[in-house]
Amino acid sequence: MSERVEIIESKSTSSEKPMILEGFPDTGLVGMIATSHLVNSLEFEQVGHIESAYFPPMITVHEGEMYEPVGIFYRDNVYVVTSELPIPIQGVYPIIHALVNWMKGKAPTVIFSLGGIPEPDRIKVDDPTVFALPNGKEAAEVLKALKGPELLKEGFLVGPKAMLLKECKKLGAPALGLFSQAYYKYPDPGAAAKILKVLSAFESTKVDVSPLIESAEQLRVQYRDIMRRTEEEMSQMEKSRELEVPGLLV
Amino acid sequence: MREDDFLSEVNRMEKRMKKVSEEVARRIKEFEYSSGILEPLYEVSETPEEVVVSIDMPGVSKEDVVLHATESRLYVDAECKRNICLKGMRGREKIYTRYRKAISLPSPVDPDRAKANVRKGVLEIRLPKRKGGVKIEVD
Repeated sequence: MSERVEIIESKSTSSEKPMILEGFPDTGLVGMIATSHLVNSLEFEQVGHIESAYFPPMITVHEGEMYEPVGIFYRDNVYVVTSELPIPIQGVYPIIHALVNWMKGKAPTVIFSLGGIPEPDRIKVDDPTVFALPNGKEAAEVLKALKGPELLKEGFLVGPKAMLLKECKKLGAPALGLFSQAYYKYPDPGAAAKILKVLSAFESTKVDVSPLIESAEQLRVQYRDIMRRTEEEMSQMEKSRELEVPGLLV
Repeated sequence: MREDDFLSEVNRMEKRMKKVSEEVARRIKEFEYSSGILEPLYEVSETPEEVVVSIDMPGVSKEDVVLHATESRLYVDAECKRNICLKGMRGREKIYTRYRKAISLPSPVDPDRAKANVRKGVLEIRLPKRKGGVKIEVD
């Protein structure tokens, strides 16, 4: 395994200028919940996975079958990369580097990084705002076509999603971060639903979010363990910096 | 201390912390599974005036919550409106009926003046800090 990370494609796909969505666990598990709902509701097929010595040695078992915990799914010219496992701090650079190289090889129209942005007053927010951060002109054009997101004008982004946007820019791949206001330490299906509503601008990612809202209580309980593990990794990455104000660029 | 010694000490500390964290995770799951009581996610923050505790308890309303506080600890016990059914170990379904948690507070508080509310299954408790010490005049 080169550099301890390998992107394995177990089934061939015939995509052309696809869209790629990334939903690693992060603030409020927003990206993970959104991509998981999309994959399950639209019946995406698992076509690959990420192997890395940075992840714990484990497999997922569901209804008697083995699955990879960090999977790559495909349907209708859309790839979704989603995971049960947060990326450990030591693995952020090598895993994101390998993933972005793989993404770039697909010649995507756009790569979406989906996640949450911590909102200390989330309890008072009924309709979370989605913030967007394009990594260049091409991604900014994609943003113009979307209804709802506000441009993320100031602040810090920390963790795999920040690295993904940066690495994509370095390699010339258009990437757009979509981050919904979310609870920092609690799974937030409401925030995930808001991101999916933004993505419903595209026919191939249009999905009914009402099951997500209706089963929100159940999901919040079900995802507590992943949230605990994710929060441990986030705290090591100084994720709370996302609540701070930058000082250099004034 | 040489650089190699320092790095191996950091490595040892990381392993120790990971071990403790794994032990805590295992104990939480064992307790939950054997008791049918869920340990909720929670967050503690503080301002100069108060300690703020937020606890995520989906499915809980204010009439279901029993709170008890001392100067240094907060105890919460709450019954779920509807029983929560989760797939547990090896796919067996397990019914959970309540949440329970004891939380250590980072500063001494005045529990008599504490206020709490529940919104969308998130319980927020604001506990004013106990005032102590003496005022110092600045010359």
